Amino acid sequence: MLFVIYVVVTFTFFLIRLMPSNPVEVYIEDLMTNYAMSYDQAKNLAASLFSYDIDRPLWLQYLDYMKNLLHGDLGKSIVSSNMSVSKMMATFIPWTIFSVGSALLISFFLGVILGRIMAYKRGSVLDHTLTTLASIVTAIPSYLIALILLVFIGIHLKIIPLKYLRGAYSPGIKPGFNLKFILDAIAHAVMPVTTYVISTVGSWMLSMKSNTLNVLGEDYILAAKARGLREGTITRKYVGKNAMLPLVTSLAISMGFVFGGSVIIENIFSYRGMGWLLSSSISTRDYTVMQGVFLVITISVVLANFIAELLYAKLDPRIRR
Amino acid sequence: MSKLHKILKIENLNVVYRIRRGDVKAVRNVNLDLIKGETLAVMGESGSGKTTLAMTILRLLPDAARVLTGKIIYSNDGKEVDLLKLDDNTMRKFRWKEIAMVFQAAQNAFNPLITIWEHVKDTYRDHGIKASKNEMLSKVEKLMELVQLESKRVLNSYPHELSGGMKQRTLIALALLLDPKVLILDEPTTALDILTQRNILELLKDIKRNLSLSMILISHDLAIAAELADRIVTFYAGSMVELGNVNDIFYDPKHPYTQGLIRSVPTVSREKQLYSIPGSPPDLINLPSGCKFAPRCKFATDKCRGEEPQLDYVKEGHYVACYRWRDINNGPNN
Amino acid sequence: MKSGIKLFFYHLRKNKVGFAGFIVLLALIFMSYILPYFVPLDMETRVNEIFKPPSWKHPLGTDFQGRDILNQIIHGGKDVMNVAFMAGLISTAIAVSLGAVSGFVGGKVDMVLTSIADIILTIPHFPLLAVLAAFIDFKSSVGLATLLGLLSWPGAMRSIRAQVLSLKERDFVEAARVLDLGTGHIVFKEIIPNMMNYIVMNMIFSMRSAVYSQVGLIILGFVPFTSTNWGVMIHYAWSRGAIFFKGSLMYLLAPIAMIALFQWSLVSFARALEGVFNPRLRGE
Repeated sequence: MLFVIYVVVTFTFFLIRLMPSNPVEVYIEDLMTNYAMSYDQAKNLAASLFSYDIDRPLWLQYLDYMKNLLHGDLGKSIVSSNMSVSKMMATFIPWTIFSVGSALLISFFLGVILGRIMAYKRGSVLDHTLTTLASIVTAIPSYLIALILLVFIGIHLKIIPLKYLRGAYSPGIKPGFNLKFILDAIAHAVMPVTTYVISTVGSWMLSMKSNTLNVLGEDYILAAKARGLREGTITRKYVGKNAMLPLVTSLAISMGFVFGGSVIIENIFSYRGMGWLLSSSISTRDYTVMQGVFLVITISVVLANFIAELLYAKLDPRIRR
Repeated sequence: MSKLHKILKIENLNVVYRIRRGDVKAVRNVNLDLIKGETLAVMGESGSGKTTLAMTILRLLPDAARVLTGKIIYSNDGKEVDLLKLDDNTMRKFRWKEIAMVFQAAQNAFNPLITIWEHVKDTYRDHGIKASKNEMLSKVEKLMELVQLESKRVLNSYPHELSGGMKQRTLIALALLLDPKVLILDEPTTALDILTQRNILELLKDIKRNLSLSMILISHDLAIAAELADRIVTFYAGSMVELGNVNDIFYDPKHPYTQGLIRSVPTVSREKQLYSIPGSPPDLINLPSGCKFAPRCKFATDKCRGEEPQLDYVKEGHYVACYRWRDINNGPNN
Repeated sequence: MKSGIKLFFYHLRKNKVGFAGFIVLLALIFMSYILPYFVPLDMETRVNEIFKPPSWKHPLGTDFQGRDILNQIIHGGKDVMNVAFMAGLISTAIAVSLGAVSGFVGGKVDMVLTSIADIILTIPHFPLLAVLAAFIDFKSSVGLATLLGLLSWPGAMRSIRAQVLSLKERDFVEAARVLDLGTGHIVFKEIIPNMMNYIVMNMIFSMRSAVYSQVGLIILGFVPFTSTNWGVMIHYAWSRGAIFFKGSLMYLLAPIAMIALFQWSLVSFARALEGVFNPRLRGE
């Protein structure tokens, strides 16, 4: 895993520097033409913002970059020159963790419960309806679901007041661990979370249903019945556990997927999280912020995958021993 | 004979599986008793109905199966119940406590995510037995000793950490956990290597000797039947074709199918040619009329093909479903 | 194991959903590639007909410049489908070659290729694409399609590699080896034809992912637009306020419906193919 992170970090380094329109040089040119700075002045300003010096040889720049990273220094924002990128991100990250985290949890448990019901009631009207719904909904890109929800729930049917559809919390309410703020934050998170849940629950349902059906056909379930075990024990400990286990790895994959979607979805709801920050920094060509956010998002996903693998190994005795 | 206590009485049992193509008549007109304390071997090819019979006794049949007619009467301590008429919860408590079964696929009979000890605990708990951990443990340890396994090691293991033979023994120990009166063993030695088969056989002989269990042994392995069984019943196409004590069946079988079975086992000593019964078992959905074995039987006559023979009395305790058993002289020594 | 065309359709019809998906897919392809020849693209601005609700003249209403929406829908699928097909082809070509080589040759080559695939798999695609789009000027859809293809081959490659690994041990491969028919022949003439179902299915999934990424980038405005397509319509519907008027909702909903239908038909068709190629799943 560390190797992957290393690759990602290095890749991001080269991304900025080797791209067709090298953002640093473009910036320097821009400063020179529009702000009448000398080359040296422009270069120094750029160096402090990007936290690297274009005159130094590439490999030294690389070392500087790595050194800065280890200190948590991601440079300064180009657009808002006084803000350190890491400080900026610290205010945005919690919102994404909050919305994506709760969405994944809700989606997972909902999917597992529904999937199990679908398996036990296989062939029934409920099963057919849920399967069809799940198949249709997973086919629609998540951001389109966000737009549909925005349009119908917010704008036209006015089920949720419009003010909750923008931003992560209402302006004027002081952030902190007080009830008013928490309720407000939840109200603002409803739409993004619902979008994430709708776009991911279908695949959990279908996977859980298929896993449960497979497990139900296993010999040890019949053996458990023969031992006179209670229905509840069998469903929970023998079927449930075995059917759910493979889904743990999908949890990590799901996270990568949702993070990807958050770039657009947070934009649609103006929800000030990492995804919003990434897309806004791309629009404003704020390269340092872009680089920082991309790095953090990617590393989080890598970490999540790693943790999921560890978790799975811990939960499955066949791998553990 | 009628003085002997019949712990299980199967009367007029008919079981079918409903599938798209039609009804698979898996168990047909079975009337069979299990005498208390005896070991009854049920023999026949795959698909002859042996496993379905066992599953019906414990009511573990899949949804597609239907019991058309019949009673399975369990009688013990003066009480008599028809197992087929019990409600689900009573039947559930019955299982394992009165009648236990050791399955054919021992390799996959355990929940891969929990230890063997968990399996034991689940069994005790779901049967409402309030025993302390030590009480449970001492009982299990005794059983582990009986099956010659290292109790501590096995109990703390997960199923994948045990070998095939160890799993089979654990299953047997587990089956004896609640002191059942009847033990059904479905192919206990199939899929095991020769040495392990021998070990399991010795184990079963020990159990038979030391515990007063009534056992139903389902097997196509004649060697096992010969060493364990008191009586043998052979099945063909879902119904009984011959029933008798172990000596009669092995030394003087009357039904051509039984004769074929006995003769088809290769032994080290015999120099004669290997014999196999020609032909293949019938389609259980579209059964021919008359005796179902007739198509493969070299003694079949038109009478055989006309109406299916019922069990005929040969001598005390020996019955055969064949019209021609008197005429045929086709014992294993011919 | 090669099904004739007749067998293909017979089994396709058995899976009703899959068949429906296939028909819808054909209809969408017809609408997007053939219909435009008969219905010319009308991009004329009509200032007095902005955001008009559906009527006989404009069955789906008009957009923010007074242009007919139905007309744009008909012409709007071509771009999206072109990129999807191209990305799918590129991704599948790479996945098949690398997967087959990796599975068949094994050893260090396999290790290196699998590691590369794993790294690309772990990096979330859309953020990467968004960042790249900031730097790279996509002049044509080929460039975008290539990039999308280059990012989505790892998933398919792993599953193809797994298939090759299992087929490698089969008799007919053993026979070819004994006959000394050469690695190239074995891989391309023996193994690959037996994996056609996986290959086609993976191509369909690559296409799905390509549509997701492309439309996402368009909606955010990170790639330059050429006249109009379904993604562009959604972009303008959102940024030009079509979502606020009841009458103009079609500008948003119609392209969404088209994209959803395209994705759904791809997935259903893929599921049906699974049944066609795998007799055990057919329930026989």
